[in-house]
Amino acid sequence: MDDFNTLTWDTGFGYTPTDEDVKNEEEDSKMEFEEEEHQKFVSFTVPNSDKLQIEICDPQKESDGSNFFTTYLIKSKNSLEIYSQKENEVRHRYTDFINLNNALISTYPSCIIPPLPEKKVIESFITGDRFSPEFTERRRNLLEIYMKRIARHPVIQNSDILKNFLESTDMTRAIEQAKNDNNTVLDGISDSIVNSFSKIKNTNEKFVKAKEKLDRLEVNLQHVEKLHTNIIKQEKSIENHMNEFALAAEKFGETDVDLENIVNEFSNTLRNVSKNIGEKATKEENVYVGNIKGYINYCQSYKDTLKARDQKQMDFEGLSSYLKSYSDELKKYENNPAHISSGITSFVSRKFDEMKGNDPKLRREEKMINLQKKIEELKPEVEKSEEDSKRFDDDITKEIEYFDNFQIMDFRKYLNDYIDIQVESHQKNKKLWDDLIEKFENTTV
Amino acid sequence: MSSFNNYYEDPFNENPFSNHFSSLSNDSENNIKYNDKLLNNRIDFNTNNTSILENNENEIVNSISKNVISKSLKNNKSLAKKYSRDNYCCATHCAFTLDKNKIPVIVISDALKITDMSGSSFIVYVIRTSEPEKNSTLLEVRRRYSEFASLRNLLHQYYPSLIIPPIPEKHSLTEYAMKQGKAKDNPKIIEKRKRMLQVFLNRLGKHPVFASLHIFHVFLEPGNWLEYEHKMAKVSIPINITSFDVSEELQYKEIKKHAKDFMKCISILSKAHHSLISIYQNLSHSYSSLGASYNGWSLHEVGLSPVLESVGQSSDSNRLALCRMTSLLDITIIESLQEYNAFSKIIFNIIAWYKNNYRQYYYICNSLNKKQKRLENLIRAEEKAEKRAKEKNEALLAKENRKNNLKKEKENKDDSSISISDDENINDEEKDSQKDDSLLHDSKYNELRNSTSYPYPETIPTSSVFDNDLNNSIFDNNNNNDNNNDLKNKSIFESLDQNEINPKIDDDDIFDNINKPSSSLKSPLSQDVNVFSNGIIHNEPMSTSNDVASSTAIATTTATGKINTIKKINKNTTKGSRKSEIENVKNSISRLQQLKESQYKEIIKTGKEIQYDFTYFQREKYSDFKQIFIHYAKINREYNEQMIKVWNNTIKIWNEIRV
Repeated sequence: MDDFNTLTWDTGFGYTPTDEDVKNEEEDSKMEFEEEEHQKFVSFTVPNSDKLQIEICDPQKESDGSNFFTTYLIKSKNSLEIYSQKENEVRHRYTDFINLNNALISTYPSCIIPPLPEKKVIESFITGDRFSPEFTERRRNLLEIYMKRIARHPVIQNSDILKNFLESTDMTRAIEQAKNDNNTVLDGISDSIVNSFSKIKNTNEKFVKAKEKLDRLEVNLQHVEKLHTNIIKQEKSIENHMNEFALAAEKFGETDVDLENIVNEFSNTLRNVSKNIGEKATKEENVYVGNIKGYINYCQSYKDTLKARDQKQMDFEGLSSYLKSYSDELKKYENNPAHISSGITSFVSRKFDEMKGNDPKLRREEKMINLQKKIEELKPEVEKSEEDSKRFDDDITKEIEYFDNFQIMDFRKYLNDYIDIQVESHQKNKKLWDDLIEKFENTTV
Repeated sequence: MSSFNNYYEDPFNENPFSNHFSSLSNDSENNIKYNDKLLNNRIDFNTNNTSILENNENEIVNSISKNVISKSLKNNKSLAKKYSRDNYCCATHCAFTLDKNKIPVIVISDALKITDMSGSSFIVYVIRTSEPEKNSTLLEVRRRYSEFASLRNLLHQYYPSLIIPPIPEKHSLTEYAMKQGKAKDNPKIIEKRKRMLQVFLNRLGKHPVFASLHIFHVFLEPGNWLEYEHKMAKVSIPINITSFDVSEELQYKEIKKHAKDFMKCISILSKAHHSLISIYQNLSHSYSSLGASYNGWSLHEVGLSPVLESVGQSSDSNRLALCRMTSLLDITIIESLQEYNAFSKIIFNIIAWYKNNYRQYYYICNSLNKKQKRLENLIRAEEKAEKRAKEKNEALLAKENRKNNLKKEKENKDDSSISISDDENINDEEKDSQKDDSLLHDSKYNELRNSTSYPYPETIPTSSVFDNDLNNSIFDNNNNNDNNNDLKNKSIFESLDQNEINPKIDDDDIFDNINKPSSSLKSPLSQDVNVFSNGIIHNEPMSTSNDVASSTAIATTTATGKINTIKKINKNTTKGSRKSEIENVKNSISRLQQLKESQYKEIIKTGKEIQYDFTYFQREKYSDFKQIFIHYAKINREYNEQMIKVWNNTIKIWNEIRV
């Protein structure tokens, strides 16, 4: 027993902390706590995050004539000004959620839109009937998590798209929105594709840190998820082996009529305990590990948003570098009218122009006018992208804060749920053993 | 020997008990005397049993022998009261048997490594006997493992019919394979032995027979055990276990099967337990890495740090609790199962031993049966021979009368013919008896096969009563007066009958002596024939020799008195040998009868003992397993409780953070 103590202690750390190290670490972390205590625990909640409550229930199988699909009842309560009614109820099918999600992504590129439960992932998760109660329940749960994440977001909860979604079954507006916005976004992107491979010139410390933190979180989540999955597997095999043990005990009881009664009592308890352990494992899998997996996907959305921000910045940087190069060239022409650009290329182009019969002087003026024109065109674009980028930066700064706080809130809840599962299962088992002990101690030979 | 003295010193001289004990244990003569008394006591106890059996035979058939034993125990107790203090062999005996609810508790408090003069070291176990509630130590002594083994051997020597609790094996193969070092250097093995030896001693202390044995008391008391053991071994009663071919048969098939199933189930159970334990161990590994990863994560997080840290700590506590649970479960389950595995082996041995006893008894009955038949035949032949002799005398008298009255020549021929016919009769008679004899030898098997083959009705009912008794008692623990069991018993007994009448059996060495006299009977008779047939070569079977004899007799009818005189001599010799034969047979019958009776008593006695101890064992087993299950449940409950505490504590920490 002692052997594996030392063996497994340091997995995940890579080094065995000495007592002194541990002490130092503890002191360090204590110091940190003291410094950050106030700021940390006060800012746990996100403003207005509880103003829109959404619940999804009552999945029903419906048909539009040729296809079958499942619709879910979405109940919402709000205390927001943009809504005319305080409570809304509406039915939507899964496809509507996809449209909503697309519309939100295109409308709020600076917001971390939580990932929609994937169609394929869900289907591969439970092979079999798409309309089975397990499947619909699972999807309902995932959709509810998605809706709740959206509803608590201070920006999105005030969105028209969401309002529309919660108030009516008509999704045409959202579909259009997604298309329109996609086009405008694509316009901007098409230009920037040129330098999409280049790196950001002015790295912003804040976002780099956020990215690093996110990466760490992802790694940690993946690590924890793996370990929990492993534990769940082991718990399930404990369930099996405990049943086998109970079976062996029963066989043993059959050999002895005297013992049969108590052995059966014992093996019954074992079976119940193993059932509890199995149930606990399933709950851990569905609730806790499911949440962690969802969070890993959420991290991906966060990453995407950060990437979008980088893109915006790069757009701005690219455009402004264009502008700079144009204006530099114009300046050259202005400062040195006779200037003929040296180098083979300019020489060739000059010869070429001569052969064509173009007057180099005329061409120079033409060029200068062209440049002027381009600069005139680019200037507002650059200004716009700068504005965009700045706005994005601001938005995302808020977004990061939201995410951090949401994360704290979420994990508190998840871990709370996890602990509830543990305590519940242990209490159940304790009661089972208690009953058995009482039975045995009260029966006399 | 001198090396032992250093650890035999009594460390409790202040104890008022110890003086008394040392005076007792120093006086070795006393010991033997006490022990003899005890042995006598035991015999008394058993004769009590048999007397009860004889008195209330019907009652015993109907009621279960459990009652008989409790009765006899009561008798014993009242006897004990009668003799008051005299009946106790020593103060330890008093302590162990005075109050059933206050049996002293034996604890092996320590295991010490001792190095003797020659430099070799061994482990001694400190055995402390104390009163159950007061916690005051009555006795303390140090014994090494080999002394435990010798105690067990000694007990086995004296009480082969009792289920003596097992002691841990000297060398467990798996342990040996795992750890190359010697057992005495492995603390785990020593700990295990400590626990199991403690269980062994406490089982003896609770056992109604062993607890009152002086051998046991001496073992607990300070003193040189080896000397005592040496003395006791000399006095030991020889146990004759004859080596018969023990094939699959006999009445204990069911119990044996039961014990075998029991063993099999134990191995399955321990296998299942092992795999469960190994998963628990894996799980505890996983929890420890989980704890590590949560702690690692907490270093990266700011807002969640204390929460994650507490979860990580809880995971670590989970690991510790799991480790504790697994090791405790391993100790309770595996060691108990190992012990019970050893118990089943012991029961096997006892059954085999008893089977042999029973067989011996049956052989004695069988040969006695043969002897008595032989005797009957001999007596019949003797009577007939005497009758013939009388008739002859009368005939001779009549002849003389006729001779006197009628006179002379013609009648001579008649005379001889009559005498010849007489002789022929006698010959026939003799040959008949010879035939009988040969039949007895050759077709013993067939004769015994018949339903009437049990010539001694008095042995069968009693043995069957006893048999049923035993089986009932054994099965009755399992199943109160179940009719099926009666049926089973019957079938067992029937199968026993069939199996016991086995031609092989008769060839066994023991009965060679018994067979010899009967075969020696043959030779004088055949000699007679040879003499009678006057040198005619005569090694043919009896039936033809009969014809030949008669033909020769006819052929020699013309021959005169000469032959008659020869015949008379022959007759006289056969008469003499027959008489001595009868004496011989009678002697051997009485010898066999004695043997039979003692063997019968032995069987009844050991049967009672086995039956009694088996009942006790079953009862102990029941409560033991209940205890094991309670332990199992308690260990699990403790784990659950610990974890509830850990998680609740985590929540408490969280709430403090929130405020």
